[in-house]
Amino acid sequence: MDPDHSLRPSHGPDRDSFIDWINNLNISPSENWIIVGDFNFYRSPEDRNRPGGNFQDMNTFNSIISNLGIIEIPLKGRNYTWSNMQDNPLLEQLDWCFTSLNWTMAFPNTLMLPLAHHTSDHVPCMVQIGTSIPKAKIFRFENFWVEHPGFFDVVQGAWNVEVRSSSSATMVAAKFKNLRRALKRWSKGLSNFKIKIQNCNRVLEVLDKLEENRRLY
Amino acid sequence: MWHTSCGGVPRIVDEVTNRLLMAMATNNNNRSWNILNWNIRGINEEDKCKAVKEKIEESVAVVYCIQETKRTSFDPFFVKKFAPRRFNKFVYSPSRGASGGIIMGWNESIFTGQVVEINLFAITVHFTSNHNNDIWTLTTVYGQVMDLTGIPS
Repeated sequence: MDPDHSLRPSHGPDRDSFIDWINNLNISPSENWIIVGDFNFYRSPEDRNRPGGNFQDMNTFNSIISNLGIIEIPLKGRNYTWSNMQDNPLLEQLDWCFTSLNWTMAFPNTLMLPLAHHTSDHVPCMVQIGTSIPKAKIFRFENFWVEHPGFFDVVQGAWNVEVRSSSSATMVAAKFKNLRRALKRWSKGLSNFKIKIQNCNRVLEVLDKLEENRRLY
Repeated sequence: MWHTSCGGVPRIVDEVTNRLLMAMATNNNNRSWNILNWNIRGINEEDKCKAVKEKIEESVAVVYCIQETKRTSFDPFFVKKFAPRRFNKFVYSPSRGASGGIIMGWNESIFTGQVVEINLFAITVHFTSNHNNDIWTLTTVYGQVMDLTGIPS
């Protein structure tokens, strides 16, 4: 292992054919495609803990990314994934995760999370893929419901639904369950707060993403 | 390059993990799964195998992608050293001597994988969920670099 990664010539035959291959990768934006691995490239000087770096390599890598039309899934909570393991180490981000455009809509909660590293000079990364933020299915009664017209009708309607059981305790429990279900359904149509919050979050995500590539004025 | 590990009685831990993962995959409202990606720099030593196994478990992965295996071939027997039993499929790109090499493995009870491409730099597999209509493609990449001696590292 050479002490300074940037000393490696950026163009060997393997690297050239790697660049050729990846540039010709046909990633349809409408497919759910994810690319993860050790690219041995970094995107900007910030991906190193020392000033400088190979600007030609950065250009090559960034043009590959824009050619393919893929979107970076940023590494969360850490700046680098590789160390040259020296006393005053050179650190770089060489491992990356990208997705197609469609992926970001199908699986909006995709994260690249670093794990603790040992036995290798690269950090293991866990790519977590999710469609939604996990939330507890807890029923929460909102006090403003009571003031809403139609609330008591919903309660009465749900409470009067026939439940059959020999035990009165089971019957009461079943009635409360019916009520919970009815109120959940009814409350969904009450306000569009949720949609508004979701939309705000989308805008924030886009701005966050933008901020990584340029300054937000 | 396509192998299926032999059957056998899965250990209870694998069984429990499998069921948990399947339950996670079946729940349409909150579909989620994890992939482990790691350049291990040689998987031949015992401690490397152990480390990979640990990270696969830690990340609760359904797919693992390992670069720089430095192995020219894999068989189910060797794969068992680093992959928990629920990973019943794997494909690999052999190393050239002691350089490079990629392996990708997955749990076929959750996703059915179809190999799209294997080459020196990458493995691409097309996955179809067995529990919902998720269809996705995964490419794991290893960008070979030449070092000053001309030997790919």
